[in-house]
Amino acid sequence: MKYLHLKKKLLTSLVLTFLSTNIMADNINVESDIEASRFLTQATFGPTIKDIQELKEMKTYEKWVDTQIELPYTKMAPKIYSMRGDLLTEAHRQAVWWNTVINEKDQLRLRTAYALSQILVTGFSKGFAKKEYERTAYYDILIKNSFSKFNTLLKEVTLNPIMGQYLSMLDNKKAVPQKNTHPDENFAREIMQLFTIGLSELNPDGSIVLENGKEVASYTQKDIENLARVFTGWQLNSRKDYISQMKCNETFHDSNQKIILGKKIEAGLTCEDDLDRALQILTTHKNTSVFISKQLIQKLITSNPTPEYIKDISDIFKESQGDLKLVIKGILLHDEARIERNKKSSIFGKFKEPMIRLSAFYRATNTISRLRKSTPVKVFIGQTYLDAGSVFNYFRPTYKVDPSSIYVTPELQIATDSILPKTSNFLEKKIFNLTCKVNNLKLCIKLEDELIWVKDDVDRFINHYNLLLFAGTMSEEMKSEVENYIKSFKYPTSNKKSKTVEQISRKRASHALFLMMSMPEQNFQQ
Amino acid sequence: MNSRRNFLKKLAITSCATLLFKVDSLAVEKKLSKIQIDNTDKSLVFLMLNGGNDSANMLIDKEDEAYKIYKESRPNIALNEDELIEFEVNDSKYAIHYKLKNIFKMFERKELAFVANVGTMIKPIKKETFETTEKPPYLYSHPTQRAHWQSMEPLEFLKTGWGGRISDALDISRNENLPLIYGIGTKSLFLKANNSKAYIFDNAGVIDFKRLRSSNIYTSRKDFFKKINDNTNSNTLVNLYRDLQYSTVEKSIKIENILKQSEIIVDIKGHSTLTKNLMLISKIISLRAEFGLKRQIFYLNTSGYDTHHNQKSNINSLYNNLDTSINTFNEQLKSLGLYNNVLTFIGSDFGRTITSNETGTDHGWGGHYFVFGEAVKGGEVYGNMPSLKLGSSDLTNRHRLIPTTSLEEYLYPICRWFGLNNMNIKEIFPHYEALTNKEDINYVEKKLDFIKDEYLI
Repeated sequence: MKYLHLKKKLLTSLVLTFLSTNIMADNINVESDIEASRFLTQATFGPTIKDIQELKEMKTYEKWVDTQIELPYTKMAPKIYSMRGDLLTEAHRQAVWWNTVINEKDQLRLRTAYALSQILVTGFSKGFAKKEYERTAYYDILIKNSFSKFNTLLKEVTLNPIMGQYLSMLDNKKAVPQKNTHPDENFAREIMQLFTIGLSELNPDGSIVLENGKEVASYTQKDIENLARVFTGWQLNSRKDYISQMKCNETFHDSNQKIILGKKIEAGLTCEDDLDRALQILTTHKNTSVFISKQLIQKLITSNPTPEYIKDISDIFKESQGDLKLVIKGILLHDEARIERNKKSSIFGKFKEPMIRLSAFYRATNTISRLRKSTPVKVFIGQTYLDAGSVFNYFRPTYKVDPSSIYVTPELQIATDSILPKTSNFLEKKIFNLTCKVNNLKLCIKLEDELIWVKDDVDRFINHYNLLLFAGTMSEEMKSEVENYIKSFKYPTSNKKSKTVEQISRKRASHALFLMMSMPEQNFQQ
Repeated sequence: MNSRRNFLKKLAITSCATLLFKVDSLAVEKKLSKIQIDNTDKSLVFLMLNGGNDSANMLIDKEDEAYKIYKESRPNIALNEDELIEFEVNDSKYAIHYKLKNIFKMFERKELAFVANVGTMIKPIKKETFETTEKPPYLYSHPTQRAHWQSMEPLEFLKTGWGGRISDALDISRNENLPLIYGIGTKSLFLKANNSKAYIFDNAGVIDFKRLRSSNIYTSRKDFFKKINDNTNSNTLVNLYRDLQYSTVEKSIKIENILKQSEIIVDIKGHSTLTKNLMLISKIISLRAEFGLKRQIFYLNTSGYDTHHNQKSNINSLYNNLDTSINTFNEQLKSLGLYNNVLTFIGSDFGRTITSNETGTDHGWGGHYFVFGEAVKGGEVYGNMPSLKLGSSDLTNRHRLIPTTSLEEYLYPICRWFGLNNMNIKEIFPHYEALTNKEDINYVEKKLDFIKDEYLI
């Protein structure tokens, strides 16, 4: 009875949060192309004209989010499995990701999965060289559970053998006193530090709890040692099976009592019961809702969310028991994300992640992706997927480019003196090679109307890409700079061979796109 | 004329950004006194072994009893006698890992010294007072401990690094604003400063912006970026990025032009990334006159030391690479006539647990390190070799080494060599004084005088 009452109360409060308090912009109409593009920049791998129109036809952002949540979800593992005639390499795995984010419809889910893959990180590890299919299957867990309960997602991640190997929980055994061995603490430490509660006690608004001016550690070495004992006994389901969930061999499991974060797990439980209890303790810890919600806001909307924004989303996380679809919906519909750009603070927004910036460029240029192999772009742009240098991801959510500032700029951690020129050179190579040979297993970048506009209606060409690549942030000065540049490439006055005309149009388009992609404003979403 | 205009423009951007930016009051550095240096050329190289080096297998106490204890304490991980290079110094027996054969030769030639059981601390500590003594926050965690090595201010993370602070404080003439701190293939908190900007080299050297394709408007890529950068935006963060991008354009052109003047080949087939990075450092040092700098500071790292599993085979290949790279670098410095001007030291997140989890070891605390260069009084083991007996006063309950030497004490002689006086050191390392006051700690004092006396005047 008591439980039912509680549940009812929670559900009511959720409805209240959404409908009556006006925190959420659920009833806000999609007013303009620019606002639609801005929203899609936050929620997808890049706006397209078609998606902008669809969003406007749906009238509200909420309708779009609900529709996205209901879409069948993409599975990437079967796609790479279908390539198994080749000796599978990392290039195949990358190709599948590009084909997916450029072509598939379930954009919000895919965007969320990419964010989650940078929180629940698995990068390259020894022995992964021939596990491209298995690693793709790990990513599929993230896609599948992007709108699940956080606890469900975390359990699948924990029992996945790729994660098992990456953070050495696989084959972790209970202590053997005669040999002075102890359970491996790797997974126990990182699941707390990075996947759930974080290093220090947090207030509900995301600020760090200070006692006498000092941070308060959210867990102790004792907690790690106890939790490490929970994660013992897990082995591969069968030899070489890095896809099925790990199974437990109770003989290597430490079934004695554990105390984790002040909560007791009694002795004598099975591996899985122990695990369920521990994950329950971690995911319901007061930090987890704040820690995860804030990072998801930073991944989608803004690097420096206000305390109110963090608290609102963290409340949704808590009240819905970590229901990620409500969390993501709350993040996108929140006033702070939706209020018109010109009313925003001077620090609102975030730098684009290099992979998302690149995918958005492809989607803005009508690209069809039928890649079979794709060189990992990390060496050029500092990021790929599933290839962070360590479990601490490509960049930390706390990175500041300016040490004296209170504002973080996470994505700029990879904007180094070597990556900036490499990114620019890489973009140049792509942009001056806008081709579409459909039968090639390459990216097919299609400029059609755009080539007409760049010749006959330069304003339209610029406005088109101002909408798709900048979500409308180009100033008049920037536009006129592009216009002058385009017009400096002249068409021949006589001898109008159509081939020459097309060549110059392509030249104009490439130079203009490269100029636009190089503008600092292009790399920032607000 | 041009550079003056850029400079003025930069100033304008900076002051504008400062006005708009909320400044974190905690982050405002205490004013640093100038570091006055002599006229010699000196370069400092900080090599970080990322992940936490299991140095209890790098340097081993080979006294009969100690070796027996070592084998008992880590039965799955301990090295057998055929995996050791044994030696004797001052009537004490030691051994180092057999893959470090060139490093051992450097040690024998007195070019390299080991420093035992060094670790992050805020106050001197011993086992009896372990619970009550203030310790660095978040011990045994990668990012915090690595940040401690880099910032030396564990109570205010993410601010500046000690390399950056030294760069800010150096009283040195700077040629055309060329940076004197460099990351090789990596950024680091170590390099972060309030005023000096580090340059981050790519593994292969400088990455320059490609030439601009024929254009009727822009004369070069630099010009192209300059025009773009003439805009300003109402968003403060965008302006920060604008500054960042343009400063990279300017620096990469300047530095590439300097590097072109040397014929040293860095990117040699078959060499590891670590070797290539160290070769790049030798090249940059050899161009010191062209850079116009009397002091340079380098940071680089090498990864894979987080050996939770398969410790033995992983360490074998890691040490093999480390040994080859360091030897190649050392020989290169000699052949370029730079050996007398360079000091290199290693760091790592932490040491690892003495006991194992079967095939690997966990995050620990104290660890052994080494330093090499002409200024080093090599062929010695400095600091105190700990007892690995389970339950000994050198180990925590979960068998991590309790460090007997602080990072500050390890870095003190290195910084003195570089030109810092005692006052500079106290300012750069805010916990230095608290750490050298050891009245309450009565362990056997062994002086860490691994730098030749003539550099400490």
